[in-house]
Amino acid sequence: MGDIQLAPTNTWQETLTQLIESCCAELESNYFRVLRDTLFSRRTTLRPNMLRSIASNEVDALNKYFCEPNFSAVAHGSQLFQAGLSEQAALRLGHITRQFLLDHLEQGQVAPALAAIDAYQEAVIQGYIQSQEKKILKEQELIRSALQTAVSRYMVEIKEIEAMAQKATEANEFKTRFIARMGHELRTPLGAMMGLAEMLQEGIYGPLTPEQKDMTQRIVNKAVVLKNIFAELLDQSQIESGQLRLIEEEFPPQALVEVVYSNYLPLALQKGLAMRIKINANLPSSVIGDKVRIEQIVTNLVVNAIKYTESGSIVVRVYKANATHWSVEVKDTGIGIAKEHLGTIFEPFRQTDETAHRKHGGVGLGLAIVQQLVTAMKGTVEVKSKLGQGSVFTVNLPIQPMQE
Amino acid sequence: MSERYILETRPLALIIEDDADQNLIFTTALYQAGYETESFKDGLAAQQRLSEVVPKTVVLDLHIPEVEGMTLLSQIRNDQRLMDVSVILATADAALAHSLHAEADIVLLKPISFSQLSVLASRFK
Repeated sequence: MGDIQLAPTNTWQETLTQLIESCCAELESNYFRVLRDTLFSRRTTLRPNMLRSIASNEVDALNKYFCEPNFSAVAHGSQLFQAGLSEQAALRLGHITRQFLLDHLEQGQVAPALAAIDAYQEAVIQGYIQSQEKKILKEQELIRSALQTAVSRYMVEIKEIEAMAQKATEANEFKTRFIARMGHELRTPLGAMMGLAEMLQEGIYGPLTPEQKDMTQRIVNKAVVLKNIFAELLDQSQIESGQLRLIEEEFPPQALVEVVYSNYLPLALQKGLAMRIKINANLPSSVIGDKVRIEQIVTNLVVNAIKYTESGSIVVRVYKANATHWSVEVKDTGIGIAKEHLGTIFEPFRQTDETAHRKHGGVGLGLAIVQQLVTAMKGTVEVKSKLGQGSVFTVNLPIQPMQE
Repeated sequence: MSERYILETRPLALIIEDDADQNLIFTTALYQAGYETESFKDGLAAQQRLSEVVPKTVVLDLHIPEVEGMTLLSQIRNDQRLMDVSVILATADAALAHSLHAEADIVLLKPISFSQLSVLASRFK
């Protein structure tokens, strides 16, 4: 580029303008080469044709900067930013432009040209940075509003979930109250029915014929079934509402099991089943716990065993399991429980299937109550079963109240 | 057994229960247990009668109109004159039944068996 001639009388602006105009072609080739090397070395994503257009734009912009009073270098910087040029590349572009022009200036023109080019460059960078800031602010605003949207949606969802949870809790509380109330309301007339039937049975209103006695007995029996169902429902609602209070008293476990045995032996015999109790010699003579509730646990297990056994026997074994616990084991030769049902038999209102329910009756609370009572007593209940062969339920209870 | 003989020798039992059928059952059970019986359908009338007589036994339902069963129970327990009265409480509320064991001589959870009540009441004569 040595053949560029500069007139010595020209002011530096004119010289610069002339220079730019005269060496436009050279600018386009050389300037583009340097620019490409610089930008590509910074791993820019710009394609060569975009680069060429940037280079010629830059020459064009520089030209306008010196010739047109309205040309804004700041706006040009902003355009560079919007064209996707990186900040480093933009700085580099200015530097190259500056160097390129200085290479073509004579000594006396260097200082003023340098100042002008620096001002140009500064303005371009300023425009670039302003646009960048605007973009950042805009992005921040977008992020903030997106966050706000997300948060408010999240809040709405939380409120919805809270409302649902509240509704579920209310429904559950209502169910508990409903069962308690209904149990109460149903038991009052039931009590009267039982009492009146018993009065007939006792001959208060004159002697009964054998048939009348039989009918009266049937009424009483069915009333007892109803009474037991209500008692179970009430127990369940009491346990669910956390109103269960356990009483601690000392009692002989052997006597307790014997009472249950003698209460239910007739029922077993009626079904043609054998029933035995085995009291292990190591059983403590007394334990501390809620006697009434423990009797209920053993009763439920025995009744359950009788209910699901068609032939064979029921064996109730009582023994000391270890230093801290005693156990009641109820073993039957009944229908057994399929593996897939073992996990759910202790859930309230569960019976393994609808057929079982139709055949055996009951509301499906017996085992649920057993487990909930045992848990409240800090004991455990386990079941082992083989379909068609029978089941073994084992309840382990503390000999003395466990220390917290 | 003449009417007079019965009136003179039978201990008195007050049956306080608002349900007519239940009242009939309690009254019959206590009569069968050997008591002379008086029936009340509300707390106020029973309260009035308790100020006049000293019964041997009171069968008390906790949910009765006018004066609550609990009120009557504490009145009986705090009255020197009535200190020897046996109270048989009848309630359908299991939790309440449990908490009142100390206050009453017997707490029966409804539904109450006629023969059971009769047997139990005869013990207090």
